[in-house]
Amino acid sequence: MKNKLISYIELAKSYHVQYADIRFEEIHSHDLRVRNESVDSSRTSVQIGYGIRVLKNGSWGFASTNDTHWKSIEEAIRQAVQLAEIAAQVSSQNIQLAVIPVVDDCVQSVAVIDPFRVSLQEKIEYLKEASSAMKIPSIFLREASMSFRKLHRFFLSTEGSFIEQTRHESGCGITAFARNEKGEMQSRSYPNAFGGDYSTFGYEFVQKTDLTGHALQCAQEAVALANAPLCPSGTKDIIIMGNQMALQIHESIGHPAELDRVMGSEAAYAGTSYMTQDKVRIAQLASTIVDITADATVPGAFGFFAYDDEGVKAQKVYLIKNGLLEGYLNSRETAFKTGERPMGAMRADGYWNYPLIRMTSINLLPGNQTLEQMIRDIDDGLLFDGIKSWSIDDRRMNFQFGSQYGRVIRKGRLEEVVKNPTYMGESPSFWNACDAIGDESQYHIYGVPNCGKGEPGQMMKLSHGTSPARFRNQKVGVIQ
Amino acid sequence: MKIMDSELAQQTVQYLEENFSGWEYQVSFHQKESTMLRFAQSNVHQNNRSIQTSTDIELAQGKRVAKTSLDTRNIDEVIRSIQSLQGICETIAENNEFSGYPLPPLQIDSGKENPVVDAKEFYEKSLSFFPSYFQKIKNASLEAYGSFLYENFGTACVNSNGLQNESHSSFVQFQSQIMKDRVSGYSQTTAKTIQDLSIDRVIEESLETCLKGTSPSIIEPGYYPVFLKPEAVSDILRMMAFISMGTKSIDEKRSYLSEKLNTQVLDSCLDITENPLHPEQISMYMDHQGYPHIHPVQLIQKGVFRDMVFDDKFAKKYHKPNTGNALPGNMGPIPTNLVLESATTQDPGAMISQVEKGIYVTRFWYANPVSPIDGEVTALTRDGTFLIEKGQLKPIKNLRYSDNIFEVLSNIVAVGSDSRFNGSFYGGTVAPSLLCKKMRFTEVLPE
Repeated sequence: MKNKLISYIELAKSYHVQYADIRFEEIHSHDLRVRNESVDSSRTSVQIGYGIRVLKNGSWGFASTNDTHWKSIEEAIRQAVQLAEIAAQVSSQNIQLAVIPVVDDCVQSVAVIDPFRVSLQEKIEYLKEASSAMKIPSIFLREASMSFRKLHRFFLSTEGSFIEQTRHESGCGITAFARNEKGEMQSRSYPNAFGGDYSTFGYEFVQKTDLTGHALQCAQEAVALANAPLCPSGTKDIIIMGNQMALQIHESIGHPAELDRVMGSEAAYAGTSYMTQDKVRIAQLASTIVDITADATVPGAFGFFAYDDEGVKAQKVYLIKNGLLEGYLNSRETAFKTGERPMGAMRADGYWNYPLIRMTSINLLPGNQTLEQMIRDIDDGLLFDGIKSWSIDDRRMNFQFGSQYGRVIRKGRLEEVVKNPTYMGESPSFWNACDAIGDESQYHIYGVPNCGKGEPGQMMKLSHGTSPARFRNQKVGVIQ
Repeated sequence: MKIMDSELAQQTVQYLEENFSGWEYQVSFHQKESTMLRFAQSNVHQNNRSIQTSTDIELAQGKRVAKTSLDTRNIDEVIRSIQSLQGICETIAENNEFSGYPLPPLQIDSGKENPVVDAKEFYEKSLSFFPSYFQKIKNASLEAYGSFLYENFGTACVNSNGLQNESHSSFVQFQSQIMKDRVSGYSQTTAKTIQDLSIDRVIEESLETCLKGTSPSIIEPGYYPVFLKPEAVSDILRMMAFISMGTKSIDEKRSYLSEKLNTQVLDSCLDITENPLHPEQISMYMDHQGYPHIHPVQLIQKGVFRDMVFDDKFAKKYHKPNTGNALPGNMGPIPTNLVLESATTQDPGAMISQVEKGIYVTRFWYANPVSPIDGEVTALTRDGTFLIEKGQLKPIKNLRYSDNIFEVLSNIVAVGSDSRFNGSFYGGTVAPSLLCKKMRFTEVLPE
């Protein structure tokens, strides 16, 4: 493969480009879903192809093909060059790249059990057992699913970096749907909504997640929700559990910390950011107990990798330190503009797309409180658990998030269940109201399989490490 | 060239015919050629050209069904995958919801030919209009953001019942967002050919909206009459189709429209039709099972919920004709080519001039259902939000709405004569401006 890629890169060089890189990827995936103990779908897929990126006359060009014959790849290289030339003719930019070390490396997956070697029968039985364990009165629909991917990637640049990486991805989850006597429906998921939890471990991750062991509680909570009153409105102290905190970090810290948004190149679609460059190490964007890192170096995390799609080694950097904006997710292009070091966040969702600045594993570092301690200090509050709905403005300031499951907190005790719990706020003032973060024992890294960004749309896999956290005086319950 | 004439399609079908008699199968061959130029700060900063082919294969033995998607063009890899599906079918449990594949219909052809967009013409157009567009915006001390793209796509479907169908379509889209500091204006045009694009209109509209938006003031949240531009109406319609008009969610009582057939759900002046044949619509005239998608379906008639769309499975369940609305995955049939109309329309300018006090919305952003069964949705305004006072527009800061979208469209004051196509997944919507009696705005966005 290396020799093939070298010949393609040599061809790109013959077009007098400033820089070029080529990615070859082979991706195998398997998604399996059981509904009411019956196999709803078993879908496999194979994706194989090349993506070629060139920088010429100060502008980018990108083309991809899944036709692996020499002539098609040759044509894709020519088209990438042509696009760069067109962009240069109509633009006045002069894109340059920050310098990175040249590497030659091969990195293997951290999976212990290859999910593609586990029998289909075993997977189906696992899901059917979990689905069956949710079978209680009022539950009319039970879903259990798992999904796996195996990726083999090669990268070669005109600068001489050659990287080969393999990676496994495993995810699983369950959802129970309950209906009350009036026919109103509510759902509850474990370990998270939208397919559950995901990692870069192998099938051992699915075994450890223990869907069956949590199925009955999941179903019981769905039934409780179907019969629960609506979330009250008002201003309350709130506790956000880990899976919902992952969404909170994602939308109000992760996306605004993407330097392409900050610098305006995503303004037309994804938007810009409230984390403007004049705020670095000056603005108190969160309370002093909040430390948030971008850390692609934790094996098994869904946002774990060895090198990004520019050949930059994975790193751990601080985005927020003691509540102050400390840094950004960047690319070689944006790092050159700011004079910073590239931190390895340029990733594409497949060979068919150009890389963008994407989150890695954005982690809120654990605090020192038990969940009981956090609840005990609340007189009038709400607990939010499980992602249901989210909406945030194009600068990532004003948000409204909904959870699957709410619990009233009254005088330091967890009380009745409430349905459709929502809370809303403005990112910096919300994070400045954080006065307690759960301890290490509650810390978990949640995998996110569906982060959308860019045009054409890209779906990135990433993660968020977090414990539950407490926020004082927040607006809740807008929909009533 | 027809997709079915390709070597890969011929060899795949031949292999299935020779080795899987007695099995049921469905194969879709997809082909897509696209180019996108993205611009920001008046520079084309990203672009993407992609030529992709992919094959979806479903194999069923009785009710044991397995699926695979392949983007390889290698026939040996395709055969390996089919053999692997055979193994899965022999292992897998029965899927009680599987009801077979569609039979060939009486009529396949829509009678319409879609034009193909030429890459060379697209590049020439880019080189001809971008420099003057960027210069015009720079001269106004503003910056241009947006995208210019085209896509030629086609699908050929074959199944074991003898259904064979192939369709191709294309679209070109230009989106312009003009911005300075935090003030912006937006407009878009989508058409079947480059010649049909309204590029000048889009540039003027987005520029004018941005210029009008400087120094926005703050208004109090609450209920206001609202003027929704066609793009904003399309944003609401897309959400309505996705969370409420899907036959599967209606059937499973997860939709606002569940058990509301023949009930008044929108204002009596509104008709909503699923109409892939509408002249402005972008459609392949067939669904993801190869079944023709060529017959309009009146979903809402004078505000009354009258009908649903169907794929083969739900057509059998409801004893209704298949409307050709099968989609990939498990979401069930959903309308993809909505057209919102009214018998009486007005000039949008006249609609605004009659508003004593209300909100003008260019488009929405980040819409998400809060409670789908209640029709409750939240979203934010973007790229041109104004207070209308005695028919005059005054810039205001963006707002969040949280409301039942059926209720919003149940109180219509006037419908515009400015219908326009807005693209989305698998099709798009054709909708005019609407003046609605009230919409609930719950938050004002901060500085």
